[in-house]
Amino acid sequence: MENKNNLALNIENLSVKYKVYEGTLEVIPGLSMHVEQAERVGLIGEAGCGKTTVLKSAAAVLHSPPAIVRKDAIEVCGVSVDGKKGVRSVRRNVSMIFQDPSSSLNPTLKISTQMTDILKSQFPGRKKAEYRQMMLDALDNVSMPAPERVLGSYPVQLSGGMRQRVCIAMALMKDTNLMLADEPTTALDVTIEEQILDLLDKLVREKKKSLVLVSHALGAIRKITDRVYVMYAGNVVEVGKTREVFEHPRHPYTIGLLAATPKLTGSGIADGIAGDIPSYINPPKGCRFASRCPRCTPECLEAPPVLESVDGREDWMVACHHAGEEAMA
Amino acid sequence: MRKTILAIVKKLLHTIVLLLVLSFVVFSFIRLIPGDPVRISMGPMTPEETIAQKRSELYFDRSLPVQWAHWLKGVVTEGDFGESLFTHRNVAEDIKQYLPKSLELVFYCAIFILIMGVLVGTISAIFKNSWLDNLIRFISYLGVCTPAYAIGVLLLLVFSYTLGIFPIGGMPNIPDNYVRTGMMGLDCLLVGDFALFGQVFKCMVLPVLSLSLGSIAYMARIHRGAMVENINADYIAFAQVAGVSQGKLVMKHLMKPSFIPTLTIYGLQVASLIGNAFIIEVIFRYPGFSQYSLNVIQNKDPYGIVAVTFVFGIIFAVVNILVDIGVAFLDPRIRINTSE
Repeated sequence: MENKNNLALNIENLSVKYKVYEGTLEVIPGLSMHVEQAERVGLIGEAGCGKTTVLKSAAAVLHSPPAIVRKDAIEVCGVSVDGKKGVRSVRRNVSMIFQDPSSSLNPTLKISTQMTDILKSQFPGRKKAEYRQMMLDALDNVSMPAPERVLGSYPVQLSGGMRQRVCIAMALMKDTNLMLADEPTTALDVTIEEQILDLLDKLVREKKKSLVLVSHALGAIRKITDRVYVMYAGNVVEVGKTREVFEHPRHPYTIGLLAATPKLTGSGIADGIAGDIPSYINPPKGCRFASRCPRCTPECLEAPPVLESVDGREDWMVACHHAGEEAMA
Repeated sequence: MRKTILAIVKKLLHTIVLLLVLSFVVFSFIRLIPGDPVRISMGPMTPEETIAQKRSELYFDRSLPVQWAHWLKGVVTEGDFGESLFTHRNVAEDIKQYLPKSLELVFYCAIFILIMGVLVGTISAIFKNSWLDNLIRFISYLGVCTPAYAIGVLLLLVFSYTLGIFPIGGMPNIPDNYVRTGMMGLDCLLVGDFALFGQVFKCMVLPVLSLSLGSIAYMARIHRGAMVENINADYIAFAQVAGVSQGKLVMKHLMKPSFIPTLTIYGLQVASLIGNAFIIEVIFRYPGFSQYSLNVIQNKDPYGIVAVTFVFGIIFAVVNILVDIGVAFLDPRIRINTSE
């Protein structure tokens, strides 16, 4: 992190809490991450660990209240996301694709209407025919079959894969630096998943955009991203070059997560990690993974581990009291 | 598009069947009520032969289905709803005279409710959980649970009796040569007599207010709820990040889906206005259809009662169809499902 202004995204010490009837949910206790220009970053971790919350705060669409957000900084392309000016800068610099294409398009408006409204605010004062051509180009960009028909359709008339292509086309209509993709393929079937991820990968590379990809498809993460953040219960537990983390995971959670991926060559379905993410109300005061960790010692129950360099390297960090130790069975 | 029209036609056919059944049921009720309507109408001193002749004229000496069929034939072929034993003229004429006045009242209310309900609901949703929202919520609860007649009496007391801003009831006389549609305000406008329209308007303010306030409160609650729910929808966040301007986001992307539940409730509220108008027309001495309805019911006027019920049925059905069309217009999911 030589020069912060060069970062596409910089999050420092983000904390997100929710007040509910039972108490306070500490969803994200204190998280930092950064994305460099034209860098592709993966964000992995099991469901409910706060990945979407992180992306939503970066895109300035996290509803607060109810969320109680504290942070040292969230900067997009060197500009803080706070205040009206910040939000305007975010709108200019960030695109986001949501998890479920069936809920991220407005059910009551035609695709052409939704796209025109984006274009009108991004490129005001053009002619109707120009907007139409831009929309057709955008759909062509995502290899959409029959773009004319799609423009005249309502979302319910499109298949899931087509809807997600529309979403990607819409997200790419403004020329932004940073693309946030929140599980863009979770709601789709496997063959479509491959197509969509390839498409996303290609477009991001072509346009030299930075990408944050949240996905449960670990194969895709490995293929597409340069660096990966592994999250557990709101904390980053390991971060490093994707290839290195996948080949020699240091954190016991990463090890478990990667081992849980079924492999074609392996023997049957993998076991997964026993247990669940701890409650966010009164979370354990030590390591949040301790109750499920094979390496757990009394120390782990007392103090939360912080991110520390692996082998003195700056680009590989692990938050574990026993990171140096060899994996136990 | 063709399929949409087909769906509407189907709906209309359903409605016609429903109205036929309704008219028959009401018809049988007036025969079941004890007492002789003809005798009531003509008084105790009228000789038996005259009564019998009148009864036969009105088909009361025939069986129920025959009487019903005769009535139905009259309605369908000549718009003849039978003779009223209360006003002693054809019920159709009575309807023509009184119904437009009530429709006018209801029409003003419907517009007022739509605008105010959506406006108040939207303000409430935008300033969610602020002091303004809480104030609106408090007033809404009061409005929903206070009956229209209580509001009417209260308004009369404050604005007419104490402050003297509005007349205490009744309507100005409309000259006979003014009558075009039967709607008082509209007729004045059509003739170009704005001074008289002003008077009519002044007399309409309090009835419209007392008839609308409850519905406005209810609509505002529903609309606020729908908007607040949809604000959290993914498509709003997506449109926001994708760069849709804030104004469009609220007024179009958020408003259109939120309007679907509101419109359904709106239809029910407008239909129920006709029922609520009964009491309001009495309180404000408004010469409308509800006043007339009360009179025919109290006088056990058979053809009058049937016609009144029938007209209410038609109004409900029409409002219902309009709401269904409106909802389908707003929500492509419904449109596409019904047409496939």
